[in-house]
Amino acid sequence: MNELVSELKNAIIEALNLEDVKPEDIDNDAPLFGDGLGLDSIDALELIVLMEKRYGIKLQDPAAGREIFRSINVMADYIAAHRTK
Amino acid sequence: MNRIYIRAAEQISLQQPLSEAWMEEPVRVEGPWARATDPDFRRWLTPGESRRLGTILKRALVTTLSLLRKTGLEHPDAVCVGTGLGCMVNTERLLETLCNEGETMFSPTHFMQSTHNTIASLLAIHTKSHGYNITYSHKDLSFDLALLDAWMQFRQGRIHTALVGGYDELTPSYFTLLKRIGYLGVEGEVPGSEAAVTLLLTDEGTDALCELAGLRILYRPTEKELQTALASLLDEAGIVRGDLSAVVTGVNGNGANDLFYEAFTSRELPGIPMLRYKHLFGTGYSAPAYGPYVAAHCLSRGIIPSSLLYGTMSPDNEAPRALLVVNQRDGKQYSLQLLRVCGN
Repeated sequence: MNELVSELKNAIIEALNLEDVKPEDIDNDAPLFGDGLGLDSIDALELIVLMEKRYGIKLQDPAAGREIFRSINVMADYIAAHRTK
Repeated sequence: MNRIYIRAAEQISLQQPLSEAWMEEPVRVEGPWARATDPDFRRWLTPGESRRLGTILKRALVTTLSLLRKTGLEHPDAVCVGTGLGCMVNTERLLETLCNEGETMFSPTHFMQSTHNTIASLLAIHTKSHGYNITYSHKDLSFDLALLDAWMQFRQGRIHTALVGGYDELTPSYFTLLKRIGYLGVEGEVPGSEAAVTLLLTDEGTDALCELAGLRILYRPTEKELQTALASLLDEAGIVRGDLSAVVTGVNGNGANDLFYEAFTSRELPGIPMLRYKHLFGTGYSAPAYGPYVAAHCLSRGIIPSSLLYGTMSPDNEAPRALLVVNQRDGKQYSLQLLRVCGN
């Protein structure tokens, strides 16, 4: 799981072009949106694309992303359980 | 009628960015393709502000922010942009993803930034300028039409300040395509990416670079129509041909296209020296935006750098008083802009 968390952080930094953020800056349990990493609705769309492209997970219901993208740990758990690649 | 002035003009190009150092020490660039020299964007934009922006958007934003900082103006009444291709890098990424991975896999950021009017929209959002906002995309005439639109808004009294910019970016693949159709890549040309913006206003103040005394745009004009347009442009400004210090042309090393500039100048303005600027700033759809930029700074400083001279005639040693900026492509479309020193 630790490996997936680390990989996920790097993938998010790259996909969202978070130039000034390092993987160790991201708290695994902190919210990704709002106060935490400060992502917004466009980032949510980018994360949906990332999930499909990298892990073969197709989110049919965008509203489900609200829960899945709550934090790095929640995201990693979801990917581990649903990934097809 | 409101008189219209160029208060400031800024550029990013092959020359030193956000600077007029080219007037004293021009950077000489050889083809076949040169990259623009970017400023340190981090001085202007936080990582958060710039993380989604492609290079063309950063250039547009930084030239604009520099201009606004210099002039102290915060919210221009209008934002008018000319661009031949818009955000080409993002457009290519979007198309590549569509072709390789299907339409559900592309990045929303690349999608949003693949439209031509992204640039003008971004400038408006970032500077909170919520007035008139428009984008023209007509190949080499894009900037000129944006300028004409602003001019008409000024003359009708609808606006008092306007940002008018020209922006394009050249990618390796698009350069290859343009070379194949003979638009770019002729030996002697310096193809590049362009970013130039001018701030126009109706208040001469004490700091304006020059007056934009008039402009004309013509499509497939006959010689007679071109002659008439030039005559009316000069008449309207109350000057005669002999008052022109020089003609600022878009001569770029492509002989087939340069011939039209030479024919126009020798026919309509014999004895008036020709200048050029694309060998310094680059050639591309928005390169004409450097025309008024160059002319405005020459008029403001009262000098014509020798690096701009073209042909056998040189301007006299007096400070230039009026410059005609001419942009044309293959003799089909012409744009004439008359700039003169303030205080007339």
